[in-house]
Amino acid sequence: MSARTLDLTNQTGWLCGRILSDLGAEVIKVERPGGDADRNVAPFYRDKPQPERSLYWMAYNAGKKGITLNLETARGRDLFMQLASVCDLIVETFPPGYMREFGIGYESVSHVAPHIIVTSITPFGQTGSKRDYKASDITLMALAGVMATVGRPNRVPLRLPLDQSYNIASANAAMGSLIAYHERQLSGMGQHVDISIYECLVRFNYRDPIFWEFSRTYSRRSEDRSIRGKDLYARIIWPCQDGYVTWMFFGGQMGAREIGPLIRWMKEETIDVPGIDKLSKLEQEELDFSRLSQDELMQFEDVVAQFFARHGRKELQEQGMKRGLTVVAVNDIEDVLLDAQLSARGFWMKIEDETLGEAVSYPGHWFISSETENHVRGRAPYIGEHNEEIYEGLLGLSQSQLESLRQDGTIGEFLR
Amino acid sequence: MRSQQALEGLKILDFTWWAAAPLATKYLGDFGAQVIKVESHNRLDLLRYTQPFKDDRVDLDGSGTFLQSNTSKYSITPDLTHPQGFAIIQQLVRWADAVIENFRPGTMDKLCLGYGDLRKIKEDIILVSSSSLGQSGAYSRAKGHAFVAGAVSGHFYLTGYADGPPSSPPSIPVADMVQPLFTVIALLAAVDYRRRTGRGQWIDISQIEPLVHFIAPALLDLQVNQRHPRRVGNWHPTAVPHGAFRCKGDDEWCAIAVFTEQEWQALCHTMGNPVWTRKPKFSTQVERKKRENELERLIEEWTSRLSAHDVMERLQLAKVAAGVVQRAPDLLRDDHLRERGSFIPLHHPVMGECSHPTPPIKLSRTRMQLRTCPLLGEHNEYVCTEILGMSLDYFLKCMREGVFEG
Repeated sequence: MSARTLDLTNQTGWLCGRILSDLGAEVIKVERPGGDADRNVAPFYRDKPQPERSLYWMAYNAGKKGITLNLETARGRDLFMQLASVCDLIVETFPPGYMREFGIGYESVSHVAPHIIVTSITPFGQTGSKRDYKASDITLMALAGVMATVGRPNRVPLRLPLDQSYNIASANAAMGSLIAYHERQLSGMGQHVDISIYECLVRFNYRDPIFWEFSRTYSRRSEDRSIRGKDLYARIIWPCQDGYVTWMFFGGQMGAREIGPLIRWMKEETIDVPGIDKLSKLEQEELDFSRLSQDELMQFEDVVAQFFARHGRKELQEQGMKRGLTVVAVNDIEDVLLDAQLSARGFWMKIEDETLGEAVSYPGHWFISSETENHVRGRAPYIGEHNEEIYEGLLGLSQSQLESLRQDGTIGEFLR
Repeated sequence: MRSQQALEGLKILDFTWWAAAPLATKYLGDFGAQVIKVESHNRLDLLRYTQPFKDDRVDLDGSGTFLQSNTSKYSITPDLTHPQGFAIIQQLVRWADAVIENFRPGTMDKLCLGYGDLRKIKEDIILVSSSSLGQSGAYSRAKGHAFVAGAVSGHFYLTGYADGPPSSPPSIPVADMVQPLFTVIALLAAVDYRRRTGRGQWIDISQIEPLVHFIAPALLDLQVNQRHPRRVGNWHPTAVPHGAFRCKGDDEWCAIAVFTEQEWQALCHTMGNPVWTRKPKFSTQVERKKRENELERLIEEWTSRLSAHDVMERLQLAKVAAGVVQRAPDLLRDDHLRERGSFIPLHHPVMGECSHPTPPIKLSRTRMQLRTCPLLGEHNEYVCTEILGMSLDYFLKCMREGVFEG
């Protein structure tokens, strides 16, 4: 990717620019003087709450360049328009109408630079009756129907961890930006890409709406189980000696291929697992989920649960792999860092950060290509770190002009 | 001038089936790419067998799950073991910009359609291989599915109550929903690269790696603060209150999130400024965070007297982030989603008129036009005659000679 991108996002859209940067785009993060408000998102490096130590900021702005600019002044708007005209793409997360209010909305920008693509990420989109609703990750997860299904019956519904709605929306925004960019190669024209986080989550919650329409059913909270068909809940997360593993009963031939090796393994260990005979029948008679009751399924599961409970998660994974079983350890976060498959694929990238004084492993590629590279390009920018490079190098301003912009607050002081 | 679709002219040969990858080619098709889905009766896309069915009657052309991941595609069923069937595939490789598949690693080679084979047919072809664990590495040959990715990536571990087991949404295989976005991103980046350099490429996309990016802050926290991130339910490091609150009715809840002093004041005002809100122990964010369990119990005393909608509407008027914990029926009658065309009614020959989910990406200038999902083998004739330029007579001869299944 060679698209030059202006990134005017808060936490909800950071990852979009990060993805584009990983693909090779030059991404310029534009912050208000003093730095983005969302540089205050916890946790922080060594737990010191300072704007250049937010781990969220670091993770999702890595590889971008950083400049400061006050969009609410006439001089700032003028500079913004100059920047826009030498860019291909703008990604922004202001409330709908905010940029128009300051004369830098899509209409104004496209008037000056018809080739520009503006991707807007907002909680509910640029139109619609909920457009101006206030939102954060948890309220969006609630509205989209995700929370209703996460957790245990009779307990509070849960969101997914770590603001996943922003990641999901940012990935959709990167996809939408690339679709518009592809079209621009033919037409020469940009357009406005309107991303609603809420809609992205409704699409993410793909199953329940269609089941409701066809069969008037939807899924319920079942914690460590997954729904099969309309109303059967099969265990997918199993306690073991030192944690948890994932495994599931499959129906049909696929299930028979899994259950055979499992039964042989159980018998080899000659430990008495009550109910193993009942399980053995499944080798011959394929499991038909459409005829199975919840009670019958749970009787089968009890047998397997007793076996798993006697082993460690790594042991179950390694032995299982050898025997052709899809049983996998539920990794804790340290396990993820040490995972053999990720390491074998060269996934991690060490990024140096001189103010932190240490190198940290970042998730590297999104995919592997035989021809091109995509991976994190470097640490996240400090506040205004690239002001000179961009304003002087890209826009051709003189040192004295830059100094004057610093003095009058248009780009603010370079504070550290 | 008629507005075009954004991906008009992009040509995709689609071998995807089951879980995640069909969603990627759906997105491409919905934005105007020509997507030709190659299907086989012998190894039928399991989505065609997947509930729900119209009127509960199992019908390979009547699955609602298949429908929502396969709009805007053409379906063909050439017999790959028949020389003429394989020749049709070779012609389609020559026609295509990109081939997408999600078989187990190694399967395309067995079909004589591996990257090397494809390049002999078309030098600059793009091949996208989507799998659970990736094409290479210690476990690449192992079986995988979205729950494996949930376990390996740390998502299961981080989801759930602080005092409960790792958890998952029962109905959303997270990896199956996330991976297709990056499949499309990788493919469009490859098309851009080919435009600039004339070179194709082979893309290997796993389900695990994008998901690991999605927990990056936890990975940094572990490394630099030696803190082991754990499940925390709805707890948030700074916001208070932050959670779902029980409302009037059975299992009715409203989520509320307060990040600033201003929002706290607005929440207090909306609750009618009860005496407890003015106690010194709740006077600052820091104090409130220290006693958040007590605080959230007191707030729930207020929410439990109102309907979830009432709580949301009142708080939204005061500009406090609040959202009803909705379920599927609420989504299908949500005004906002209807206004934005999130689900559009289209006619399907077997399923009749039903809701079709649209991609959550609204483009201002180019058109988005969904077509309903294809019947099995519906487009054998169209693809052969209109796209490959065969004569109708020749196509019919192929049909008689068993070049197509079914």
